[in-house]
Amino acid sequence: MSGDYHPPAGWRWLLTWNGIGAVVVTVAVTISLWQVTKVRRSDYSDQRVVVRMLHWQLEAGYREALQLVIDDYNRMMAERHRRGEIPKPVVVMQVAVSEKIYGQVVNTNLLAREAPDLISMGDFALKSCGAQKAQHFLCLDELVRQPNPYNAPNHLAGADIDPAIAAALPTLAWRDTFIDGMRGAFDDDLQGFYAIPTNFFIPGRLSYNKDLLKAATGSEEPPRTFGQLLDICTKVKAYGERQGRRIVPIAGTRANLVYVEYYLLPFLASYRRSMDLNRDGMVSPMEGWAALGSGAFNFHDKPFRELAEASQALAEQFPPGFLALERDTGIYLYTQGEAAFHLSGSWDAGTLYHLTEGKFRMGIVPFPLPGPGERWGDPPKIAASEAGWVGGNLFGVYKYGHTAEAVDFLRFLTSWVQNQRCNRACDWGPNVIGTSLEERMQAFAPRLDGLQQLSFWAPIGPIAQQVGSIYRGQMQALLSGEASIDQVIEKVMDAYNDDAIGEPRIWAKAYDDQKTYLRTIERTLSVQALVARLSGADRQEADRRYRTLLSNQVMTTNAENLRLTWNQTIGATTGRSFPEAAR
Amino acid sequence: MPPQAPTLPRQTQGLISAAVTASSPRCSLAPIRGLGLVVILLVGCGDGSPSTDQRQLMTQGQEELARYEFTRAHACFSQVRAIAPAHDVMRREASLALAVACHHWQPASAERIAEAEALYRELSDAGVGDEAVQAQLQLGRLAELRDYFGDREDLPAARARYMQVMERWPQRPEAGEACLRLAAAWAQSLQREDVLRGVAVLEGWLDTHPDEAKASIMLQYLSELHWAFLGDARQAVDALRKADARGFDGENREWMFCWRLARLSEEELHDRDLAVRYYRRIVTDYPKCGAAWEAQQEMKRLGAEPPPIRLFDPASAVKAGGKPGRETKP
Repeated sequence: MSGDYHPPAGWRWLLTWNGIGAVVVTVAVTISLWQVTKVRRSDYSDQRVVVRMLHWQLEAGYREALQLVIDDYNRMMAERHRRGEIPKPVVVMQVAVSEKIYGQVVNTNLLAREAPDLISMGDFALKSCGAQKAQHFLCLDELVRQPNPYNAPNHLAGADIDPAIAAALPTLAWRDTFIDGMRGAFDDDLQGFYAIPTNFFIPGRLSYNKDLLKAATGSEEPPRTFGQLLDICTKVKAYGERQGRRIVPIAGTRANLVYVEYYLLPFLASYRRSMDLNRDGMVSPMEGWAALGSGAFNFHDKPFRELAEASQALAEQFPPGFLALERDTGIYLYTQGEAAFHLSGSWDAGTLYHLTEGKFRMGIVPFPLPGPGERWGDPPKIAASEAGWVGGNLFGVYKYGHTAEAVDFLRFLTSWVQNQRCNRACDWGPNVIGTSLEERMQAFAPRLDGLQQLSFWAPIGPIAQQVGSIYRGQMQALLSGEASIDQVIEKVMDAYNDDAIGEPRIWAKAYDDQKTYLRTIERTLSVQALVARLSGADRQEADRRYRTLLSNQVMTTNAENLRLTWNQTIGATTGRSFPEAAR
Repeated sequence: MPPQAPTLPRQTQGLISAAVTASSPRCSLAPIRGLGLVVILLVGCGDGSPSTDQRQLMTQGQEELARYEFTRAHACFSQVRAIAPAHDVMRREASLALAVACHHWQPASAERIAEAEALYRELSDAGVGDEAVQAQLQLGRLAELRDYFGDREDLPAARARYMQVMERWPQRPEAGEACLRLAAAWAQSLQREDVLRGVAVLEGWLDTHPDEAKASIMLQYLSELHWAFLGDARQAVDALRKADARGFDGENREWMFCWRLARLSEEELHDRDLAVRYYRRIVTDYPKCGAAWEAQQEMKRLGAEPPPIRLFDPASAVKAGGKPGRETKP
């Protein structure tokens, strides 16, 4: 060693790498502390009430549209504070979080009792059962029965509104001011309202590039049937090849698998009557499994084969390897003019219009089905009705936050004027009676014709368990060209006939789940009845809730309706006895 | 509006907190937690006016129960039970509430269920007040349902409890529920003779209690028993029509009853007019159920002119019923 290292003395040390590093760290920590203090001062100040609104709607335009309403509200509250009507100014702030981490953010904050005041009821675990929801969210039953004060005549002055509705709105219960009467916000387990819907989402629409269609087919007329769609797709492919450009007909991604599933109902509709054993107008999952187990439904029959063929034909129009593509990639391909069509719902329409502005002209039509005389067009295919669609983008009120202020802002946001303004600004569907869609969004007006959404069983969903996973995996293999229809059927039926994961397990698990669910209802019934009795709550309302829960519970005969269904179908045709659940 | 937590005396708040900790199954002092609770409760008795504290604790307990916070609710109701006089109404209320907290404690355990059962029995045996009826009914529920892993259903015991409610308190609202539960408890065996007993229980009750508040639910269930269990379409339709006359009971499920009535009328009773009537009801009364268009198609198939679906026509809905877009009961 030539000698030990001696750092420069005094201020010169700051000019060494170590010194510069220490300065940088010190400055960064100071700025961070200052920033934290600033946020604490502004967001947690005793001088004002800050209502934080957490959501996961990152689609283009929504945050800006919501901010328009928030800004108006904040101004109004500041004015009210100046006039001495409220003790502290109220400030609403939106916090937008990606869907990838939304669940973790909400769950963590709820458990820490530090959750935002308003929470979008997106995908998070702590809302999955009634008791958990009741622990964290405010019951809004009383509030939704009162009129929305922001629908008072002074708030409607100058609005372009139907006079009959303008006359009715000020006295209508908040609940009744929504197009769906808040049916979608009703919690069956708790028999009450724990969230407020703020718009309408309508799925199943096909956006198309008018300019590309014109160039490829000579017409910008969109497809009205599935046959026409495939025909245009062929022409678009040929056009891309002629141009030496890589153009895919449909910007499909893994998110579009749901559209393949939309075909289930139209293609398998012929089974609805025979599968609906209790004749209540719906085919429950277990009625579906009963049909499969008893032979009333067979994957080898024409309806399923045609469904698989049509699904394959649709997937062939997607980009190669589409199952690995995220939803954003589909939007990118379409808005860059590299695809003629994009499949989605009203939540993406604003983004698509925004990103294609100045690039090409865009139109929207309903997702087409095979038409008469076309391949797969016999028997005629009928889409699902959208009459039962309910309000979306629901917000719950965190029980331990600024509940009164949060509710007030929700009332403001869902008043006739602001609801229309916010949703039209981002090309979404407003959900208050008498509001209307933007002209270019008319394709999203709900279709009243069509089949009951839940009138057909799908081997998907939680009840299907492993067989459902295998079905979905095999369908993906089919759509990506890695499996034939026969191979798919063979694999699915192998799984179904496997005692470990198939039929016996499906029924035993369903029976056990039903028992657990009924026990959960018992808890709700018992607790709510007692609380209503002790607190002297609205007796009529409490009785109504109790009766509904009681009715739902009793009608299952303590889950023995499943055993009965088995005995009358699979048991009767195969002689097999009901698989007992693990106790 | 926001839940208003009552302001309890500081000492009482501390007691609740200590009692919650002591009664927690995870408490490391589990073996002596019962003793700790007693000491805490005895100390709590000396704080201020007992009656005021009792009321506040009951309110606090109700709020905790409403939040499904069974541990905290248990602590509150335990204290009230400990300090309230033996024959006081509040003691009975606290006992029932405490039993409910134990009954639905999560995670469920044999110990908590035993505690609930003992409290229900105490109230039921005393036979005083509303609490006795509730307790008797809940003893039936304890017997009928599986409450924790390894628990067994005891249908004969459940039936006996339900019958006692019906016999001892025939004019109480709980008696109607007990009747419904009894019928379901019979039907669970799926044996024809047992199902017929269930049917007889319901029909007998409806005959003698024409003003029964839960009559619609009973008739709806009667229809289920007649059709799904016994295959008797005519009786099923009759029962469901009687339920319809009283007004179906079941939020958002009314259209399903209409659908069943229409299909059974057409396919089993060959009563085309009745089928048309109920398909029409789906279109006019439940346009948002999603099955209205199909109901229209069924009407056309049966040679009837269907009414239009009036769904997003708020102006006319406002004028007509004052409840736009809402299903209205017949």
